Amino acid sequence: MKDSTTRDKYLRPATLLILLGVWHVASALVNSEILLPSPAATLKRLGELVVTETFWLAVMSTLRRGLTGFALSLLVGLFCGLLAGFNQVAKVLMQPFVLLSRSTPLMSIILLALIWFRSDQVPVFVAFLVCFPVIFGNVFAGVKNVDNSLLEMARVHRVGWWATITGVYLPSIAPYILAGASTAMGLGLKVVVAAEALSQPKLAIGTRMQVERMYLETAGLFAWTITALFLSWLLEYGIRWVEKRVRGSG
Amino acid sequence: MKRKLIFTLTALLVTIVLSGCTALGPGKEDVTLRVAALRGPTGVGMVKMLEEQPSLGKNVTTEYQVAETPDIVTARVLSQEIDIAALPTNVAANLYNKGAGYKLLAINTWGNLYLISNQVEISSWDDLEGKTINSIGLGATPDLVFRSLLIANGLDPKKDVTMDYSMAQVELAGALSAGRVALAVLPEPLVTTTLTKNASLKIVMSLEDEWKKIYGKNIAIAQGCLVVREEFANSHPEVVASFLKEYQESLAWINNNLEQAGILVEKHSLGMPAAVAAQAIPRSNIRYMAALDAKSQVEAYLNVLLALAPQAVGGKLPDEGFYYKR
Amino acid sequence: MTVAVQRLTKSFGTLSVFQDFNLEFPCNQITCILGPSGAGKTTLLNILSGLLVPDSGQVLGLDGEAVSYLFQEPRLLPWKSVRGNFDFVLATAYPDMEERTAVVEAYLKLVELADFAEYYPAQLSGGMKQRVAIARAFAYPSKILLMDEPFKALDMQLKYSLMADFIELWQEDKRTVVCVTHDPEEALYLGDRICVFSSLPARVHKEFSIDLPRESRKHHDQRLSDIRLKLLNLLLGETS
Repeated sequence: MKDSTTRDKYLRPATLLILLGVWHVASALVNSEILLPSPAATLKRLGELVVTETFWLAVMSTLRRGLTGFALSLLVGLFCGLLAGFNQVAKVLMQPFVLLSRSTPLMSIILLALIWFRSDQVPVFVAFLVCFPVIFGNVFAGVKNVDNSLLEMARVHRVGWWATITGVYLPSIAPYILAGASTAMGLGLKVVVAAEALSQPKLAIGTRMQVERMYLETAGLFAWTITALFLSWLLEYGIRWVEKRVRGSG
Repeated sequence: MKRKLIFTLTALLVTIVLSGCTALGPGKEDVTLRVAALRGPTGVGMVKMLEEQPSLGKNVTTEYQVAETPDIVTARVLSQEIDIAALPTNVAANLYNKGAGYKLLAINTWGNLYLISNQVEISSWDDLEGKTINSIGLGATPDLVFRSLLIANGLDPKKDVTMDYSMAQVELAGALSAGRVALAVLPEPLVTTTLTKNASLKIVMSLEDEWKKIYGKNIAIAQGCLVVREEFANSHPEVVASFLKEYQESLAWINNNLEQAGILVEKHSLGMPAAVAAQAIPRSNIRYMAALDAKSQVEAYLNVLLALAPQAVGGKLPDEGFYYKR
Repeated sequence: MTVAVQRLTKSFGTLSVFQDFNLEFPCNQITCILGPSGAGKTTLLNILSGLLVPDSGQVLGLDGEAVSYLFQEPRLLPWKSVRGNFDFVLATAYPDMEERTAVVEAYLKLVELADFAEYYPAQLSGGMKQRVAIARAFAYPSKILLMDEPFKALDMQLKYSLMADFIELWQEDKRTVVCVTHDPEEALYLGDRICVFSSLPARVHKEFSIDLPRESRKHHDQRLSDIRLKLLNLLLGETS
């Protein structure tokens, strides 16, 4: 009897192959390199790109912007979420900002950022603003969901506020933060590339995508898209690894 | 009660969706010609037609649209929404090479790119060494033409000068007027618009003149063109012919009637006031040349671009089929 | 000084839990408070521990010092090891690492969990976790130990096993204990003194003393049966 995990192991590469097959057939049917390039053309273009210096510089730059915006949102989100979780007044004061950053259409944020910031900083700002409400929400929920019985136990034993924060609050919140981080990271990279496409910093995945589009090289556009997807997968994997390490110790 | 609500909502939704569908097209004998020009010299060239809306034949309706940027026109070409479109020539070649199904009808704009200086003395190409020059968009026509001229005059665009693409068209014009930018490559009519705003700005180079110095008196920059959708041209060649006839007349007219052309330009909101338009037209090099007649100049132009940035043209020179034959 | 509550008054909204309530807790003895749910037993513990402030009246004999508390659930931090859980509450009382480690080891030995210091709560059984909690409660230096139905959720065998472990630890330092329970068997096994509470506002309805040493307190002992009968009558019979 086949093990279900063995089946799953074969399932993932199988679905990938099916996807490639469908893509290939579709592109043959459409028969226009501008509308739907073939997987072969896309992979060829990807191969050409990967050996250029510009490719790696662009990828590193986009990664750097994404991580910077994300890190900023993590810091500010953690601080604000904790504050709002402990203090009702703080929560009420922060509410409008959180709501604004969560509900404002992405395009508005990008276009305003274009006016306020340099082309290199625009994507970082946009990523920060988009990720912040996610982190904030998760941290806030984490604080609210801290096990009260544990807090009571700490209080009874007169455990100090710092030890309580580090010993009870932060570990309780950790899974919430990680869940938020995972969402935020994926989101962050997406919006970074979108913002880059508009602000066009010299070295960026978004900029290269625009260049491919301008030259009507749809295969190139696909190639860069695959690169961005791979990057996104890499980052999520990284967060999941951190999650496992944190969970393993507790 | 609940069921009724669901029914009403669904009916409402269906109605809204269906109302979006346009009514059935014109009857079998009716032809609609959809034309797109850019807010710039190509739009200006067409202004007489925009004003008079000449009939191009029995049962022929002509729809004109003026788009902000070549991107928009390109997008509409890709979705086959337009029958005749104004585009930069290299984009037209690229589209053809990629099988978009549009042929070159004519060249309608020749070199109208100028280097503007804000109190920086430039009397030769060597004076540009070490300077920063602004241009709209990496890979756009002004950029390609300018960079190829730099190379032809012995300068390396990557090392000897700094190219700055951070500002878009309107922003760049503003920055130049405000004195924040010293050197910029701009197309007409933006050149005239910017010069009128700041007296210390000067045209220091005409890229068309510089081009001719290198490539010969008879080779001009075949900068902008008109393309036609192949299917439409095959099924309605007489409409296309009518259009071209009217178009040529319009181009000739605007060059000979600057003041009135200016008034029409302002009337049809083509992006500049009448006085500016009247001044800009002569420098915009708006002249008609049919595709086949222009072939040698088009190929000369595309070859220069191919040497600099082959992806801008689609990797190769387009073949014979690119040029529309009546 | 004996720990006691004097003229204690506490209400929650319109519900009056304590009205001019007085009770003493003899030193080095286990006082069991027996009564049905909602009789104010937990409220009393919370006031003694400082978690709750009375409307009026005072707690004598504690001087605001901290108390040990044994809850119904083990209340261990799941992300810390057994040792980490001890460290968490003992850090201020035993700032010296070496001393603290010795204390932890001593108490874990007493509950026979010396080998499990590095284990995490998730890896322990329910009984083991409660044993850790018992050890923690005794390791924490305090004048008084409060217990809120700590053996409630356990099956019979585990209950008696843990109660025996508890008494064993208690014999070592004979701390004053206030134990709240609704189970007469627990009261009979653990208590030196049993106070039966009435319904609200809480009053000590009846008091019983048990002089029997705990080794002799078998469930089939005749001397206990009398008290048991009386307790059951009080709990099941009239509720005022």
